[in-house]
Amino acid sequence: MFSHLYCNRLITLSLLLLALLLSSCSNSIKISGSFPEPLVNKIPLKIGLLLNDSFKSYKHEETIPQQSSWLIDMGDANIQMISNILSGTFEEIRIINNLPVGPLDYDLDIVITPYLDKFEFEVPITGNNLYAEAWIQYEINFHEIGGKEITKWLISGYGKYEISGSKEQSLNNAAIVAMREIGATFSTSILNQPDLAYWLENNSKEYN
Amino acid sequence: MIINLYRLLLLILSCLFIGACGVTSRMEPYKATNITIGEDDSVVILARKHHASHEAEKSLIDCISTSLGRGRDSLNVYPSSDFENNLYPWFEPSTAPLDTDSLSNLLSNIEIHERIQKTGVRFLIWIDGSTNRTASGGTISCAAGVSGAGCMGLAWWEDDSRYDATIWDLEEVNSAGSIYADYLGRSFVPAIIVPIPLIARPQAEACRGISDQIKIFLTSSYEN
Repeated sequence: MFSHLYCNRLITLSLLLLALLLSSCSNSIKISGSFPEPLVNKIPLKIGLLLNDSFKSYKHEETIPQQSSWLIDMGDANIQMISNILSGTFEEIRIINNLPVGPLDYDLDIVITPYLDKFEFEVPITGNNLYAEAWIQYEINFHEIGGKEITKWLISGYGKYEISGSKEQSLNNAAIVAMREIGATFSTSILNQPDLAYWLENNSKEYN
Repeated sequence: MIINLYRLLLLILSCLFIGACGVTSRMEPYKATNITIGEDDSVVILARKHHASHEAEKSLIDCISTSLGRGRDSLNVYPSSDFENNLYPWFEPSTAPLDTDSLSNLLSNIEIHERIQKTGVRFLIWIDGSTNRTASGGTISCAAGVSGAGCMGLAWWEDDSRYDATIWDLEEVNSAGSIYADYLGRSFVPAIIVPIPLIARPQAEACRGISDQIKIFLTSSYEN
């Protein structure tokens, strides 16, 4: 009786210790932060925004050998970032579900489809480097409303953040810095994209 | 007699360690104009982030902002993150103006100028630099046995906090001056049975020093 009770307790304790060890080796974060609308002169265009599932529910999973595993959920942050950036950059934004667009959306000028192309990060656990770092690359596709591609734009952003509290929070903040950089590049340099500028000059009445 | 000598030796060693652990500082303020801060004016502290290798720590920015807003001669401090959000995307690492010519270009945009005026910020203070470990050495060995445990040895390190505070006057659109601060801190952990940490905090000292200098800078009317 005594040995059975003792054995049960030992198993429970071992399982608890195992769970503790496993949880200390895996990190899960949902990226969240502030993405204000950019303060720029709005471009007089009506934009259709097509958000695909891979963008809306983007998750990055990575296991770092002899360290830990990470699950980084960027879906909500992606949607918030691109919606706010486009709302501040263009006169009108409308979420659409298909390309080519339906008759109700024939008044749109361009359709934008964003993809999160690459995500890399580093959270050091040893050494003198006290920063979490994130590097993100988005692919922004521009299409005519009929579906013909105008151009695609690869924009990357880098962010780092001091590790002072939790590693997860520092990585979250580094990712937010990188995403804000991407938003800043988009809103300040979009009219410098040669293919888009050429298309606008030749096809857009509002822009001309 | 031997016990007294041992105590004396311990006392001398302790004094040596405490004396050696400390912060040495160098501060070079330069004021280019005779302008002082008005009652309704605010300041904002921002970190320079365009370097890939280093940037001023957020903890230091928060520390300076808090120090400036405290005390008898406190200043109105506008929160850094609110300023960056209100002026997004113009004060992000890649877009922030690096000199007063770029600032002048930025402020020529009426919307941006009005947005800054709404914040009430007159002086923008850029903090550039970082705290780095410049040297370290020594060892501490610890052992435990049936009769007890203890440590023996000495570990030490040096941290160097070097910062530049550049003050921009957003009304006159010029550089009002700068403050250079260099704080070197030496820390020791002597271990005679028990490790005794004697930690120097040069970054905290730099925060205090820079904050005091900024207050003097913005409230005293003098020219170099």
